[in-house]
Amino acid sequence: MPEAAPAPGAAAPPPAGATPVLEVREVTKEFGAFTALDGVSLSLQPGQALGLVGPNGSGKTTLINVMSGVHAATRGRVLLRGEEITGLAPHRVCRRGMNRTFQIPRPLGPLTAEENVAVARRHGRPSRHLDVDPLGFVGLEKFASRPASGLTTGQQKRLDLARAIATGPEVLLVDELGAGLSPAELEHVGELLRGLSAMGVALVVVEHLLGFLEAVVASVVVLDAGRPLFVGSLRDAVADPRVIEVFLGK
Amino acid sequence: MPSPAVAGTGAATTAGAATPAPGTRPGARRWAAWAAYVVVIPVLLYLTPHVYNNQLLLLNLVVYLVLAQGVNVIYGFTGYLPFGYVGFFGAGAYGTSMAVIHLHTGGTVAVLIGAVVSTAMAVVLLPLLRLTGAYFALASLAASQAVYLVIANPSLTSFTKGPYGVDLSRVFNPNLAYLYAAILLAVATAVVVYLRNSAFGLSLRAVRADPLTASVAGINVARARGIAWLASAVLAGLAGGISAWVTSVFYPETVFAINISVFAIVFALFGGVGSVLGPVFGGIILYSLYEYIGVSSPQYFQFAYGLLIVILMLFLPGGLASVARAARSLWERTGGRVHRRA
Ligand SMILES: Nc1ncnc2c1ncn2[C@@H]1O[C@H](COP(=O)(O)OP(=O)(O)OP(=O)(O)O)[C@@H](O)[C@H]1O
Ligand SMILES: [Mg+2]
Repeated sequence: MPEAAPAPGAAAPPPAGATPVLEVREVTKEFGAFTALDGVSLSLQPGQALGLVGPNGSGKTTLINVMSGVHAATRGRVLLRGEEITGLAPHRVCRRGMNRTFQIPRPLGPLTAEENVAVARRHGRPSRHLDVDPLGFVGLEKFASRPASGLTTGQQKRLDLARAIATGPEVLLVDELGAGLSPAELEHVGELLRGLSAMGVALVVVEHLLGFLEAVVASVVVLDAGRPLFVGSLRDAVADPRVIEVFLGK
Repeated sequence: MPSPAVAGTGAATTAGAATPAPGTRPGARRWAAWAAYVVVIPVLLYLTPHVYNNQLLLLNLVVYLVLAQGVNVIYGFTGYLPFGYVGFFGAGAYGTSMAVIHLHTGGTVAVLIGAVVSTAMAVVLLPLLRLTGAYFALASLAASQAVYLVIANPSLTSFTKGPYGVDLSRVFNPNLAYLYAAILLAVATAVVVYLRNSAFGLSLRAVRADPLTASVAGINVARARGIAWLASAVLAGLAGGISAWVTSVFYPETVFAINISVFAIVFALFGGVGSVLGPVFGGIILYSLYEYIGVSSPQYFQFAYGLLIVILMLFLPGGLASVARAARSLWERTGGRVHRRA
């Protein structure tokens, strides 16, 4: 096996020879004349948890949309386990083993929580199922037969997570799961993400709450206006003057 | 920040409440009930001519009930309102006619060929499913009228008989056609029962609830919608073929009349899309009304039924079925107690 050079965007030095489970190479996304992502690269090792931070409008959700197949990249490539998935439809990306949650939760409203999960389990990645009951894992088993539209926003966010888990992902993209949650809920969600990490699921965690992020990830990518501003450990990021300037608005 | 906007079916929300969550593991009694729905009503309708001696009218009714179930399949389970649904009916009727006239087949084979033709038309029109809401409704209507204009074109007279109409009296066999119509109604109802209780039906409901979420959950949205679309086209094609076989002598405008779409849609909506029997009861009630009051002044009925579609979509998207469900749950919650006290 040839010695793999560490990918330029790698957040933590990968073990020698390891293939990243997810690689984003120079992705650019333009909406008309507006450039939402400008040459973003990142790389994720199996089981690694990576934070994705940046101010409002910096392109975090757009990057998740591109990686999950919801938006087509204008330029650049996305690779999963070394295989090209650029431009695949969301259901194909799902079946290849990458899934996501939504910043504003998107439940299948008229379906019950249980049916939400059943659909994802049936259509997800056939070869791999995580050894958990998704609804039980996110603490929604009591609401199994409730229509998803009747759940609170926090519960719907966890239902998004349960659906994603049910598809058997190797990579999970989590978009602001913590926003708007109570401290107790936040603690719970943090535990869930650490649990997934422990199961070997690689995570990309978008989050504004750095305290929350600290408990889940060691390394981060900081975006600013669609450009990667910083790649490295979270500890170094919060000490970096450029990052501080972007976050505190100079 | 905005979550990604995605094209959803505008009509989807209109009757979203129409489908209650079907039980995941239906008991034996529910299965027995569904089997009865599938079999009993078609059998009763099949026997009705012995009591009420107007087989032609009854056949028209059964054909409309099949069309109403076809609308149920595509609108009730995907949210696409097919104003051009008559196009599949007409394609089935003309496919059947061409088979009789040019291939010299019997009625049965001709009807099956008609269904193949309407299915082919549905395949060609699959890209319409990329449109949403009113755009889809209008485009499907335009497509059906385009097919009509091609068939009625005088320069194709040697093949389609153009505007001069076809004559299928050589294969006339109304008794057999009526039997087929009754069987087709059973099949159409069975399709709806399947959609209400299968994993595939659940996928369709997921797509209807939120196509983007469904896609992210692994569902091939275009494929799921396409299957429902083709199934509804097959039903309409077979209905059109059977209808042509019995009508025997007809013109392009007979089998491509927009009224046929309007009636099928209003019957389905009135009875309740997404339900198993709603479209059947809705069709029986409204078609009877039309036959007994409307024959003297059909133009008013066409207007009234068009208006009724609008009213139902605005105020009662679940149709009669939703009223029946509400009444039953009210009865279960309060009626039972009243009953015990009495
Ligand atoms: N579908 C779209 N069409 C046009 N512009 C878009 C679209 N989606 C996102 N944008 C723009 O791209 C930029 C990045 O948006 P994005 O949602 O990715 O930011 P974000 O980093 O997730 O922000 P937040 O922290 O507020 O969620 C914003 O200016 C946004 O208005
Ligand atoms: Mg965002």
